[in-house]
Parts: sequence; C-alpha cells; structure tokens
Amino acid sequence: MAQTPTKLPPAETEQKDEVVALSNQTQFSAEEPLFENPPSFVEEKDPALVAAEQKKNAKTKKFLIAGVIVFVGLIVVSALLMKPQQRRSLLTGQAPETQTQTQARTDELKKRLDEVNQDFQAADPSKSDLPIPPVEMNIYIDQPAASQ
Amino acid sequence: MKKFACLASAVVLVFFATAAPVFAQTSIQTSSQSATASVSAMVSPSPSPTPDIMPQLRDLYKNQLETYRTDEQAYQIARQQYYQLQTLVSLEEAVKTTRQVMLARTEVLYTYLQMLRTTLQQTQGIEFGLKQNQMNKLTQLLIDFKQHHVEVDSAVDRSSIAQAVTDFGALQKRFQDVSFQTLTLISYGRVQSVYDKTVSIEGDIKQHVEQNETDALRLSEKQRAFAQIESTFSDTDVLLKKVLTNLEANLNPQKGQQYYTGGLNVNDSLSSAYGGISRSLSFLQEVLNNI
Repeated sequence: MAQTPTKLPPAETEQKDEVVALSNQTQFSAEEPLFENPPSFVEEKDPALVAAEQKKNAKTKKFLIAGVIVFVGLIVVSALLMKPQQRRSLLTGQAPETQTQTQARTDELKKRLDEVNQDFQAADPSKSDLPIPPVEMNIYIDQPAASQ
Repeated sequence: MKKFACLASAVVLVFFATAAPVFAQTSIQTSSQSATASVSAMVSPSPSPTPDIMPQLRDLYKNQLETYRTDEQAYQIARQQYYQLQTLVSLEEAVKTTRQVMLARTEVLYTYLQMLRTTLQQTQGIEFGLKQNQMNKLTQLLIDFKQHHVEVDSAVDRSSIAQAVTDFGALQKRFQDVSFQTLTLISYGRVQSVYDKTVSIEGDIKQHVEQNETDALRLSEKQRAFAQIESTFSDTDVLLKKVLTNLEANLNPQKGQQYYTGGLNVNDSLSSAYGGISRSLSFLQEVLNNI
C-alpha cells in the first residue's frame, strides 16, 4: 500500500528550514553582520548592595593602611630601642660581630701592637747596632806630614 | 586597584627594611676592602728581592776585626822595635807589619761599609731619592776602598807605605762622613717606619672600638682618648718632617764632607719624635687592654 506524502504543518516546515539554514556555514558566515558590537546588557545594581560593597572596600583599605603604619612604627620603635652598635650596624649595613669574632679581632690587634712595640725598641735612635769600627786610623811608620 | 597599590607599597616597604642593609653591607665591605688593601699596600713591608746577607757580613766582619787586632799588635811591636833599634831588619819588619795591618784595616772598613749599605737598603720609611743618593755615595766609597786595598797590597817599601798612608787620610775623612750620614738616615728611617705602623694600627683599633663598644659613655671616653693619641701623632709628624727637611737639605751630592763635626744635627728632633711614638704606643696599649 503506497503511502501518500504527509503534509507537515507550517510551523514544523519553518523550523526545518531554519535548521537547514543554520547548518549551512557558508550562508551563516555571509549572513553574519560584520563590525557589529554585541549588545550590552547594563546590569542594574542594587544601590544597597553597592553601598555595602564600597563600605567593605573602605574597611579593607583602612585595615591595610593601619597595618603599614603599625609595621613602620614597629621598625622605628625597635631602631630606637636598639643598642648603639646594633643601630650603627643597621645604618652602615655591617653585620654585628659576635663575641668570639670581637675577641679574635682584639687578639689580632694586640699581636700587631706587640710587633710594632718590638720594632719600636729596635728603632731607638740613641742606640746603634752598627757602631763605627774600633780600628786605628793613624797607622804609619813615618808620621805623615798632614797630621804632624 | 587601590587595594593592589596598598599591597604593593607594603611589599616595597618590607623589601627596603630587609634587603637594603644587605646591599649597603656589600658596598661598604667592597669599599672598606679596597681601602684596607691600599693602606696595607702602603704600610706592609715589600719583600726583599735579594736574600738577607747581613748574617754572613756580620760573621765576616767579626773575623776580620779579630785578624786586624792581631795584626795591629804585631805592627805596634815592630814599630817600637824599629824606633829603638833603627836597624834594616827592624825596618823591614815594620814595613811588613804596617802593610799587613793596613790591609786588615781596609778589609774591616770595607765590610763595615757593605753592612751599612745593606742595612740602608733594607730600612723602610726613607724617601727613595734620599736613600738612592746615599747608596750611591756608599758604592763610590766601596770602590775607592777597593782601590786603596790594591795600593796597599802593592806597597812593599817604606816610601810606598808612606804614600798609602797619605792617601788613606782623605779616604778616612770621607768614610767618617758617609758612615755618620748613613747611620743618621737609618735611624730616621726606622723611627719613621715605626711611626707609620703606629698610625695604621691606631686607625684599626679605633674602628674596632667604635664597632664594638656598647656603652655610649665609654665610647665617648674612648673617642677622647683617640683624640689625644691623634694630637700626639700631629706633634710627632711635625718633628719627623723637620728631620726630613734637614736631611734633604744636607744630604745631597754637593755636600757631605762637613757633617761629622756636627753639621747634620737631627738627633734632638729624632729623639723627641721617638718619645712621641712611645707615648702613643702606651696609650694604644691602654685602650686595647680596656676593650
């Protein structure tokens, strides 16, 4: 029994045409509007929410500023409470010496000073390690005319 | 955005608080190392290019002096005998012993001059030109003594001995002048060298004290002590410059025959400078003992 083609209702026909048109990429790209900005949707914010958010931001900012002030204040106070040599080392950038290092350096300086003291003893201008030789300058058989 | 700016400024602050001293330390260490290197280059003794021959020279000098004493005794006896006996044999003996003792004396004086030259060469704290000028004088004198030795060695009779005796008269005067000048220069160099070393170590001790003194009161006390030491240095420096001026004015090649009798009068200033260094060293010892 041969079936006669069923006639589709108009709405279904239209939907089918649209599907066909969308599946045709060439047609789709040709039909796409160029240089057209997409429509923007301005979201209307709730003024109460906006106010709450601003308040929150301001609070965070305040906390950050307070944190920085406290940090800087701590640095200043600790610098003021430092011992003189610690403050000097902070200002000059030199690391403070430990007790052992200080003692080692003192010992080294004492040793050097002892060496200088030894050189000093040897440099006494009133003493000479090279006295003029004790030899007789007037040796002769017949006394020379100049020394007569 | 503002939040980000706040955070960034906080990070920058923390960075400067922690990293800046490290950078500063590096740069200061580098500059202080270069300064120390230049100072130590200025102060530290330069290695002697030749081996130290002083011990050998001292031994040689001692042996030659002993030989000279023996020869001198023989000469005195022979001369007395000749004056008493007036014989040809005693004259011959007198000529022989006189020649011998003159040779021994020349050798002693020659070695002594070599010792003076070596010591002068090794002495620090003397200006190069001044030292070189004196070295040249010593070298010339050594050459003249060598010639005199040859002259005496070839003198075998009474007249040639008499000629050698006359020639030695001029040489003896120069020997005394140059020896005296050299000894003065060596004394000055030694005192100047000790002064330079004392100034150098004072700088190091001062730096050490300033870095490690915790008590502000004690620190100011020590700074006053260093001011006193530096004042003593100034006085010593003036005295040493006065000595140097005197030496430079008198120890030039044109002069040099007139100082044995007292023309080169630097002993007072040199002794005063030495006293100043002594005081400075005592003060430094005191400061170092109280660290």
